[in-house]
Amino acid sequence: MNLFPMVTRNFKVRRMRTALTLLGIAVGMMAIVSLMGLARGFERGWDQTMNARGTDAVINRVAAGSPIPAPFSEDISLNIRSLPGVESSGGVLSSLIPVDHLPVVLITSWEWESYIWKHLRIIEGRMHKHREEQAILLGKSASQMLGKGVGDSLLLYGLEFPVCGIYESTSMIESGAILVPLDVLQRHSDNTGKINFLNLRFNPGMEKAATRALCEEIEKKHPGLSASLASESAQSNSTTKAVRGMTLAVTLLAMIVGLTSVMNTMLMSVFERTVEIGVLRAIGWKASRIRRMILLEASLLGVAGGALGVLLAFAVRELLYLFPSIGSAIRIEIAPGAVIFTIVFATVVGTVSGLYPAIRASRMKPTVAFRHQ
Amino acid sequence: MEIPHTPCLAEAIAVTRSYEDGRIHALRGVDLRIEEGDFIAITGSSGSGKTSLLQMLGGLDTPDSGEICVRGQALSGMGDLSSFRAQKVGFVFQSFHLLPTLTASENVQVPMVESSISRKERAPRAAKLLSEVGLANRTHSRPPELSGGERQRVAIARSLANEPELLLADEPTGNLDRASATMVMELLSRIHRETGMTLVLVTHDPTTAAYASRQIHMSDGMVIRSTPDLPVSP
Repeated sequence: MNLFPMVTRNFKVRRMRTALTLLGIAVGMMAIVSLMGLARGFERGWDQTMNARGTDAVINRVAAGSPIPAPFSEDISLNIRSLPGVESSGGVLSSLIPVDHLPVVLITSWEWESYIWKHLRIIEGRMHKHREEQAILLGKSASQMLGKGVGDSLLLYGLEFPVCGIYESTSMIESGAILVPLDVLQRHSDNTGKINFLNLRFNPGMEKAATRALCEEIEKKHPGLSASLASESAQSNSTTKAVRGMTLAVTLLAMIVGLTSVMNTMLMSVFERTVEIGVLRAIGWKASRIRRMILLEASLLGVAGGALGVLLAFAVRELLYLFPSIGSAIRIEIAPGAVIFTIVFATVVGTVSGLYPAIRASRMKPTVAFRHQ
Repeated sequence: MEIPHTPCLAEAIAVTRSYEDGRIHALRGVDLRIEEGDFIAITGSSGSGKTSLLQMLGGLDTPDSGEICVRGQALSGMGDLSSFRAQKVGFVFQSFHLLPTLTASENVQVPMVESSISRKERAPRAAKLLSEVGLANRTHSRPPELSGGERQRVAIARSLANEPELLLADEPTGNLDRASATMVMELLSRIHRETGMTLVLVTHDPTTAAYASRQIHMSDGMVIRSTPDLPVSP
């Protein structure tokens, strides 16, 4: 006989309340895991994109508030391209627009004849014939999402754009995008002469320290622009930052919800078991053992709520992936670290919530407890 | 009349206790000496202070003034009384107060958690105690599955778990029918007879009180009579 069966049987007796408390914690923890997974998924997707293109560094505007940074003049690229160490560059202009039945689709455009185009694999149809051709390439996922293929057309910026080809990319972001030459998007989105990313490829064999120094030099020469190595750019990306901010906010919210729900449950439990706790004190249980019993109960609620939250996050992810419009647009990568963090976090929240009820229970006088009857 | 000299186990010396900011005087200077091996019934009407006195003797409550001594040691000097309660005292309550989620065996093991009895020894010991109270076949039953008499017998087995020196029973037959009450009192008498354990019970039922070798009658927070006619304090 030890504390564990006593605690678990209390849960069993109060099934509904235990289930509701667990659900409350689990929903909060699910949100944390999912958002962490979303941030990780985005970072991985970004890294994939950079790797697929063979990009070493990315330049964009500093302090971009939106997922896609504000545009800047493409003339800067001429200057940057001439810097020693820079092998080639490619301007990118992207935008998020509603297309057909989908509320948001990434439309991206690449500088004509830049190195970025080289990694694309056309699996159906053809490439653009020239830099001004008003036609679109669809990523494989975008083609599936939109239900469009070669020969179909899409209404973009109020104009019909025929689909000239379908491409495959190892980058999930690119696979879910619509691709046009830079000049075409610049013209139709009123961004003539503007880009919002400049992809750089450095000379082969350059030391990392040298590439970092080159980025610093670019930033010094062009105030207002941020130059980051491709391997680090995902972390400084505004979308990643936004998701991280949301994760922090949800974590705090989940902490408050978890704290109040577990504390409420434990206070109710202690109140209902006033006589029982009084009896335990009467037959010689020390106050510290009563505290441990209540804390064990609260922390078990936390552990179970955290574990349930993780399972829910996996389940919700699979559910979301059933919808092609969501599944091909976002990726939730639940890392083992996120799972461990969430369960530990939920356990700590549970334990902290149990502190006040535990202290209250341990201070209960047996004679007062018996009068409660 | 010559008073036989037996070692004093517990003693109440001028104990007072009031509740609700002094509006209710439960005990008004009670003196009581309990010899080792005594079987005492404290009787009196409701509100006479008998349960308060029992709680003082068991270290469940502390006096406003006066002192409770056990084996010559004042309880007021012991600090946390939980160890005292775990090792020296066994309690039997009117409402049994068993933990409903635990089996009879586990209920009996609950006090052992605070004793030196090893985990391995607890279950066999609980089985032995349950067998002694006639519940060998109910070790795995939970309180809701037991009758009132059986529950009280489990509670008695629990009170004996740590081999206490003093067994305190508060209206042990108060919630039982006559047949069960008789069975419980026969059991307590047998335990007293066979182990020599000191037994103090509180009751307002003369039939129950008649099992005791000595009766203390209380009224209005004071001991007013002791039968046989022994001094309540040396």
